[in-house]
Amino acid sequence: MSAHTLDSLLDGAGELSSLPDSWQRIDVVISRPAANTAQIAEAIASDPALSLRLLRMANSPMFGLSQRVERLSQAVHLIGTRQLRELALAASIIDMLAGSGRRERVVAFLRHSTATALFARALASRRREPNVERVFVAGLLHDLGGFVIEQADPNLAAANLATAMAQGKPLEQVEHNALGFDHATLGGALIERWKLPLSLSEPVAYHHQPAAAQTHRIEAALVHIAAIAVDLLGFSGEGPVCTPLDTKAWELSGIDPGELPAVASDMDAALAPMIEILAGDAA
Amino acid sequence: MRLTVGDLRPGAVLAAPAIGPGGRQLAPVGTTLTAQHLIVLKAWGLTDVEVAGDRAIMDQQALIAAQRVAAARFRGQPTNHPAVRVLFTAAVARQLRGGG
Repeated sequence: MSAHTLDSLLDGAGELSSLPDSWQRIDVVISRPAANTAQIAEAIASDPALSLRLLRMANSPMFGLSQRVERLSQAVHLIGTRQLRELALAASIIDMLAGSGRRERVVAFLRHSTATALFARALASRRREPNVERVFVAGLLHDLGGFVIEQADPNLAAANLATAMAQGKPLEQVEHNALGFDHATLGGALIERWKLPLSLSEPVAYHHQPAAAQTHRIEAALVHIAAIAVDLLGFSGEGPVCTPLDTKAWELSGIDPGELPAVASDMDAALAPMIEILAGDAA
Repeated sequence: MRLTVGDLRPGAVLAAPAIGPGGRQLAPVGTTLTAQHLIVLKAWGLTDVEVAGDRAIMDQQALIAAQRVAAARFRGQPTNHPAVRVLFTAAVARQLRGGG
């Protein structure tokens, strides 16, 4: 068993241990119930890199908007404040990861995570979930714990991966044997430390066992299904054997299997642009 | 049968040697092409090669190769589950298109 504990990894997360100040400043304005479009646009505009990234997201195939979004106020209007807040949060967190990790590691993380985020969001749209962008963020962050393990102890992360590949086991099983917990639990715990809502921490913490989530089982099920589907479809590159689909989670999702091919083919158009937008300088 | 290098799939068998620019032999007759061969042929700028069999057999071989690659990813999955079956078909189709 390794010397790391859940708390030691959380305490040692360094710059990842809290959300960036730039996000906190924007969030204060966006979350104000009385904030109007102009104030929200102005708050986001205070971070030019974030503004540019949000405009590119708004214009990406993920939204399929018929008109080109040129201004932040237009994005607020077309996408909605709550949705834009989620995207801004996603972009801020990815920026933070990009600033703290090796470039290849960030790009590798984004490949599987962005695919999972888009797939989970598409499933949520088909279920007519009220906040599909939150599911997108949960998908993007579901392997955050893996990133933290890699940052803290690259040798252990590499050894876990090698063991999973050699023994034909899913990575989380190997992590469990080595650490006593897996990347899902660690990621969920970090998101709790960031004081983000349960609707984000639970789908991350329970993406291998959605039925164990207390309050956000559906979101956890959507992330679970998405993370597996993108691996099986070959969107994530080659890796260890994939977590088996939890058939109870599938039932919970209420998704018709017949919808999967359409979701998969939408991914072909949406994935590469979104990775490029999120990775920014890291790509 | 002459096939453009873009249409080649791993598993095709060369009916004539693949000759690169300057007469260099890149693969002898009878070679069963792998993904690595295809990269080499493209890298040398070959546009087409002579392969054994007809198109139906080629398609069949490509399908079997794609199924094999996809099946490796599906190890441990509940393969009788309707969603997993749909995903497998989609994964094979992506593999055939070169997207996997």
